[in-house]
Amino acid sequence: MALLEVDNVTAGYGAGPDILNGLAIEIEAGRSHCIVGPNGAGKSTLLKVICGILRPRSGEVRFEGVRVSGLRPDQLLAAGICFVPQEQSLFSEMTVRENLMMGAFLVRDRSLVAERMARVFDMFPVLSERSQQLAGNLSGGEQQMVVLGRALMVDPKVLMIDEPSLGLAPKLADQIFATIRGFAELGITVILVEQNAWRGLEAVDWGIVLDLGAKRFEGPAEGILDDPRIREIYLGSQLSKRSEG
Amino acid sequence: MTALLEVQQLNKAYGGLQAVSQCSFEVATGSITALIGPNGAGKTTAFNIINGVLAPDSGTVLFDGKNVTGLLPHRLTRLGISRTFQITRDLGEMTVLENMVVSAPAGGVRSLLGSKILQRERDRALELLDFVGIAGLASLPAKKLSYGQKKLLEFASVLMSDPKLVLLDEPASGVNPALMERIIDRIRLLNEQGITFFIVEHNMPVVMELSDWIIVMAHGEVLVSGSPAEIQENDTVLDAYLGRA
Repeated sequence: MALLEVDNVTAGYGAGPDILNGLAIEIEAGRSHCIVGPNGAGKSTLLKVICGILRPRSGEVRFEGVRVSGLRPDQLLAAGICFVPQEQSLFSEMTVRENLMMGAFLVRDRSLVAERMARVFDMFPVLSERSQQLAGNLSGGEQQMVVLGRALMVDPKVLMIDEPSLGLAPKLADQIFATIRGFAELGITVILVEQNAWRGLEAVDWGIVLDLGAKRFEGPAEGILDDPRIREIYLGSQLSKRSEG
Repeated sequence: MTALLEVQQLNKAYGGLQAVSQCSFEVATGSITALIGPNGAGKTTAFNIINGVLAPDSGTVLFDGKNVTGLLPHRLTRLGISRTFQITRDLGEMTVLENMVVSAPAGGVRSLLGSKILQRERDRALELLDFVGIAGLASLPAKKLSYGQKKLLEFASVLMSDPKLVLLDEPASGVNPALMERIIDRIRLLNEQGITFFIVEHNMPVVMELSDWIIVMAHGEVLVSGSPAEIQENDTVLDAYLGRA
């Protein structure tokens, strides 16, 4: 059984059209996944459905075999599903340490919190140096590290990350992708969404290609972009009408 | 084929980020030309320079051979360039008909203070509402319309000024396939009547079906331009979309 199953999910916003159209995917425990696909494919919407921000119009999400669609985001977080959104989500008036502590908000055991904090500082030594600074004063790359470090404080079973390289210089993006590979090595199941398919797939084991709200195909990450279907998915299908005319 | 719109050596930076760099292209008279490119390519910045919302740091925009660089949107409308927005905008308390008239008051903006709709304005507005299929909603407050109906209202309202060139910002965003078919069909009809279209759009099937010329931007520059078939076969374009620099 897969750790997380998205079963025939249809979803959209308000009275708008369906963004996900009967989407079905399975996320395997311990594997790192990158969801790729053109603009409007439904990548971010999928993450919002899994973490409970958006309720599916039909279909369901199962986690460890149990239906979880309909649960609130905080309940899903407590169950081990953590979502790092694209939007800026730091508490900029709080220190780096305080921001990280927020990730362990649900943990009562102080020694466990200290252990996780040590793990974060181990992964991001620069955050240890800056732990007493206000998060809002850090550089863009460091802020992204705080966001990922906070997610690590949750010690989630599933970590979903939406477009972590957005707005970062290539060098900083490299660091972030290296971090994501590190998460996978810690045994965390990663679901990464990336506009930059090439770099996102480099950081994971498994690629899943979405188009128009449905899965087109999936496979080991390194072969995904060589698939001939990729051209059609990103640049549109060949036009029979036009070539006749 | 002569150029209705000519963009020469446009440059625009935000802080240290060069959003548009030495960008030059043409929109042929009578064409449906699309501007595409991956996220962050500079499409919206180029679009907003053309429609007068942004002033370039340097470079020239020629319309019908005249220098229109830096002219404000309402001046451009008078000259024959009108635009739609990605997110529909309407004056919710006013009726659909009033929304139409406000977008191109026959007596200039000042005539609106008289709050009297001229017969010819009403006739033209109703004709265009009928053209997009929402004439029956003319007396409703605009806020009562569905998202799709607002999209059609906006499309009809840009035609009130009898433009030579219509700039469309993501006409397919948030639109269901049936409505998209209708919008595509209307664009074609207007194009046959001589209106030139310049479209920024992410939806590749729509771009490939509708346009007869495509300009591809990446990293603020024009990467390549060509027919839909040429663009679909171009490896550089595919690599730009996949982030394979």
